[in-house]
Amino acid sequence: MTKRRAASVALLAGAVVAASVGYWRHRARAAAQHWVAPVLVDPAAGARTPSSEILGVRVGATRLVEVQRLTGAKGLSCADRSVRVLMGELRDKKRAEIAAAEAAGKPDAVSGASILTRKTARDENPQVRFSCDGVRSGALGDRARPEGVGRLLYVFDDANGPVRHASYQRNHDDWTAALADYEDARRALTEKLGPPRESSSMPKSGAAPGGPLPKYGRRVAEWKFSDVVATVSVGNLGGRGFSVSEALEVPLPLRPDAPVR
Amino acid sequence: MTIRTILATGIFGLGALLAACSSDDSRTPAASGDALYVRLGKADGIETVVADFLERVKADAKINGYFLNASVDQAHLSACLVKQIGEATGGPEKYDCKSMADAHSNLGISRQDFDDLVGHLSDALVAAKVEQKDVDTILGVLGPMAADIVRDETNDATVYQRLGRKPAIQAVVTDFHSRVMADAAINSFFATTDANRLATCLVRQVCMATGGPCKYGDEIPDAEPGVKSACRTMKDAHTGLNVAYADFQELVTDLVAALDAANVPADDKNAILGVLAPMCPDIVEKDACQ
Repeated sequence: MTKRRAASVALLAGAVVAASVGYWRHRARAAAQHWVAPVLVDPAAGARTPSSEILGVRVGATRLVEVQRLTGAKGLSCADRSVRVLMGELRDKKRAEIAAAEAAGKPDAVSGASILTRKTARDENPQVRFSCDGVRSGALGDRARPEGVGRLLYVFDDANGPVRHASYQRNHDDWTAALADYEDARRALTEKLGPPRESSSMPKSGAAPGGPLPKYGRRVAEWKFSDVVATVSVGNLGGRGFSVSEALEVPLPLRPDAPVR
Repeated sequence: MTIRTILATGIFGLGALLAACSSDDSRTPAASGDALYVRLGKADGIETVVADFLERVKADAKINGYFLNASVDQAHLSACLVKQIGEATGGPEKYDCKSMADAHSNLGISRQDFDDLVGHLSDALVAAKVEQKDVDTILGVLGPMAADIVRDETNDATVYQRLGRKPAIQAVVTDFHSRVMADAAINSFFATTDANRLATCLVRQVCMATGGPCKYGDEIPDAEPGVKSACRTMKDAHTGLNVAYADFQELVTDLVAALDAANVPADDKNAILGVLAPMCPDIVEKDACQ
């Protein structure tokens, strides 16, 4: 082999290697920029939930259109607050900023404008987070509840699938009200699902039973089945009042219709 | 913290060695004159030891928070270490970097930080085939100097130290991340985020918030997993996203659960959350933080 030929072969081999590296790096980058749906599985063997009904829906079965009809009938103000929608709002805001800057004769004053043309993996995530803000507990209509105002949330893997997650999160300024709300929600779910497993960061000793949670403390009642997990919790928000939440969901990576299969 | 101060942190152990050598000629490496300097391989040998030492330190999560900040001039740090060892072992080098006495007063260096660093120096010397008696000589004069360097003798002066330094924070963040990703209410915000970058930035944030040596936003590109550019401020990262307060609460709940799972004492948990909770206004735009 002549020197020229050897050099050509080496050059060619180098080009192939460089192209391969570039290709794989490009693929890795492309993969990172795209939404990858989780691989869903059937529930493992074990006790199934006796009921997945909560907050007016049947988790694993109720569809988005039914939830929209339900919340509409109750006069609730709800919207999809998915990350995909939020990205759209971000772009709208950026367009408005650019328009304002151009009107002011400063077209280069807006930073981050590339988001207008750049699609991200967030834009490809089909999840729907149907969120109703400022919902009074009395408006829920599924059962009598202590007074409270909070966020009602229904999460769907996509617009066509059944609801995966339903929750109602509300805040109280007063510990007594928060505890009563927590106990009420726990009692309601216990009637449906049986006794929960309960954990708490309540002081172990020296504190009156039912006394306020310590700062950032939490008390959680949990029901775990092979197809759903339900929780009721109360948490001390560290000087910002107390949060009470009740939720029932099909945990990932289970398929969202696991409770009805 | 100034660059020089951070720099000095890295060389505190060897600075102590220098101080020791100049204070007691009868038993220090300098007492053996050129012999030890020569046995170390002179400047080239010392540079090899220093390079290995710094690699070991930077790979050790227990103490690398002092070093993995972009404001640390790595080349200057290395040069100072070589000068320091060279001069300390009888070589011609002249140490002209910042004095050790002033360098450590505000760093909160713990006894365990000091011991870990000394351990890496020992390992680097052994790896360079420095005879054990010379290693022992060097380390023997280093130990007593800890009093000038260590500001936290009982390893509990900061939440960072009490938690168990970066490895413990990494464990909490790993647990926190898995909780968030399993939380259908908020996981879509993070589902397409580079998990390595998110973890690294979170660890650095908590590290700094707890009184540790990390400087959030002062990352060295590619020095830690997923970080090719500096971690963004909470405001920059969330501006325009209209994150709801209820979502922020959900996130805090997951963090509290992770801290509880790690058995972080109530006071330390309060300290951590007390620093992170005020970031709410930088993250939440849809509702005012209550």
